[in-house]
Amino acid sequence: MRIELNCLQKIYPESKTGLGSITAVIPPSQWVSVLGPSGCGKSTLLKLIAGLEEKTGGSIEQGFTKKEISFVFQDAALLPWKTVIENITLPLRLRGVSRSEAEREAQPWLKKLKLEKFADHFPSQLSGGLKMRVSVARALITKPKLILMDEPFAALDEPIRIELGLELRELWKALKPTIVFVTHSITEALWLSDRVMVLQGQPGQVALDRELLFGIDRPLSLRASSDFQKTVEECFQLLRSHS
Amino acid sequence: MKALWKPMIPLVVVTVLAECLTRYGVVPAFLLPAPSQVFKCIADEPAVFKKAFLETAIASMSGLGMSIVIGLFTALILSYSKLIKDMFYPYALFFQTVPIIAIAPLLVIWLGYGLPTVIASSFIVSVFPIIANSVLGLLSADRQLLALFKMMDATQPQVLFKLRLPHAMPQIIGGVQIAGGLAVIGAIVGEFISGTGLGGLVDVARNQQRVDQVFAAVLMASLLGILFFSFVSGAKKFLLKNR
Repeated sequence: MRIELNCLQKIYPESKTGLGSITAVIPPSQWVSVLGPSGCGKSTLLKLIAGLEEKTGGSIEQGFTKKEISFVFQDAALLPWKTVIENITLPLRLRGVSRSEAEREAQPWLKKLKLEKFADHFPSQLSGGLKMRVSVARALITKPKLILMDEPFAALDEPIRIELGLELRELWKALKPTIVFVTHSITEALWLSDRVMVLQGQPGQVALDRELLFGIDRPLSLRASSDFQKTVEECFQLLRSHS
Repeated sequence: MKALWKPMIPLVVVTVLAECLTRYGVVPAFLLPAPSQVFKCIADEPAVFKKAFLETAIASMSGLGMSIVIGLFTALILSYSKLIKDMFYPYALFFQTVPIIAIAPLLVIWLGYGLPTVIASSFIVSVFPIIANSVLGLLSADRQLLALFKMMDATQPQVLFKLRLPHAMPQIIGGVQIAGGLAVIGAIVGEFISGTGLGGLVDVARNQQRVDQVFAAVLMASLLGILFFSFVSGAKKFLLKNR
């Protein structure tokens, strides 16, 4: 299933900001990163795709049902009164899956995201990186076909960002969902995704839309390659020229 | 029990000081009875105080129980939509501002001299903190969590019982803690008019210039308030743990 955005627009009447006219097609299983300065409508784009916001113009076509979409927020958005395992199993429990069945489903995700030791911990007992792992596990437990991620690693320090980025890329390779990944980090966007869209202006417009041909495997060393650095520089200049 | 010794220090100091001041005639006994005289007063007429204590306890527990049930139900309705809240919340404020001492005679006309008047008085005084705190808690659920539940296709009852109510639990319990003390005050005011319970005892003692009996009744009313507060605090731990 692909996502088609045709002159998609969302303008907030009070601030006149939001998303300008965006046209793009996102094929199935593609990992698209959306870059851009604050206020250019990156998060708005995610919310429009998710159906959390009403568009003010254009159209959006995507065949995913709500059950096939997962959303990962910037600050993990965990229920503070629920344990790690209860947070991860929440989407299944809301679908009427029994507690034992949901917990059985959660076991592989606890293992994959290195959360086994923390299953009975509460969010207040976890570090920022662990909270984000829980949030990712919660997003993946329903085996979504589309994952929308709104600056998921923004609050994390660099080593944890890299570690989680590598893990997420591995999970994507295994499951092949479509991912729309909003970030402020050029390096992260280029390293993790197959395509980068740079938004500019207020309301935001697409300033650059490029496929990234760095191969399926993305070792950390890729970030030091000249091709990679050249693309980073290009994005950087583009973002700087519009800032 | 460990936490009890700190507040016990000022209590012991004030009691000893009051005992000394009255015993040595610094303060006349008709203004401030010696604490030993107050305890003697209770010991001399245990049946009278027990009966009054139980009457006030039953009335204030009933008033508080009504406040919890009706207050929570009202809060759920008020928090359901902004229109409903804007229409009816000002009327809920009425219960906060109503001078209970002024309308207590009205309650006697409507409900007669007896338990219903005392319960109604207790209810009127104690219901508002529960409504106000519950509405505040129910409406302050995290926006990201609300978006998350929407993304997970949660039904309205699921949003209420899995998110809004657990989130609001600390505020609701805070409201009940405040209401517990107010329920006793409301019951005592009602009893001034109806002539029953500790309030009735205070009224009779006041007419007879029995300051020691007034103090004894006030002491027992305070004890009742503390018992309510302690019970709710104990329930708070259980409820917050089992959200």
